[in-house]
Amino acid sequence: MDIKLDQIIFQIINFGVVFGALTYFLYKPVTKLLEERAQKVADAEKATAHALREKDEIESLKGKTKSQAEKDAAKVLEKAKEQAAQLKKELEKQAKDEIRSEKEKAMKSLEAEKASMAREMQKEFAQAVYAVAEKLLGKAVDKKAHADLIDKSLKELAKA
Amino acid sequence: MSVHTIVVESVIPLSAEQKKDIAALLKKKFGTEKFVERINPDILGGVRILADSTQYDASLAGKLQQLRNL
Repeated sequence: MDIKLDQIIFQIINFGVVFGALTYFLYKPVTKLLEERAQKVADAEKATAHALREKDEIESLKGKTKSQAEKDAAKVLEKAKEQAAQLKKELEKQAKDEIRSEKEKAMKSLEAEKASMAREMQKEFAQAVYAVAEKLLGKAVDKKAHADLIDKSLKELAKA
Repeated sequence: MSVHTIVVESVIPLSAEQKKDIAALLKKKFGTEKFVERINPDILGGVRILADSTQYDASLAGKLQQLRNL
């Protein structure tokens, strides 16, 4: 078998041309396509991880918010209960004060009425005594009794 | 305490002893023994001494008036 140099050179050149053509037209686009795909997958993984983190954060925040809301609701309820109890106490005290005040007023009014009635009775009694004494003294008291009354009056004045 | 006129009222005329007692009383209270005696049946009994604007009422009418004023 003869080895022809020109054919070898031709084959080498032919191989080089084909290799170059394949490299240029097939290998680079495929490689580029694969890189793009790999990049897309990596981006999708990143987005998924990010989404998962966000989801966890949201869940955590949701839990915290719920817990806080429950605490706030409990506080509001407790405060409302305290206010209601306080209001109840105040209303009771107010009612008691009003009752006591009304009672005192009624008692004072009653006492005043009693005192007024007593004064009126005393006055009427004194007037009656005055009228009787006036009549008796005008008619029945003699000189001796008058003299005694004068002596008694003088003793009173001396003491005064 | 100086007064101009002292009037002593009674229902009946005062006895000498009573006048003496009144004079002593007036001397002690007003520094004078002089007084004018007046009969006043309205006082009913006892005596009433009027010294200018001051009045010492120990009469029965005065006591009854006090009782009336209660």
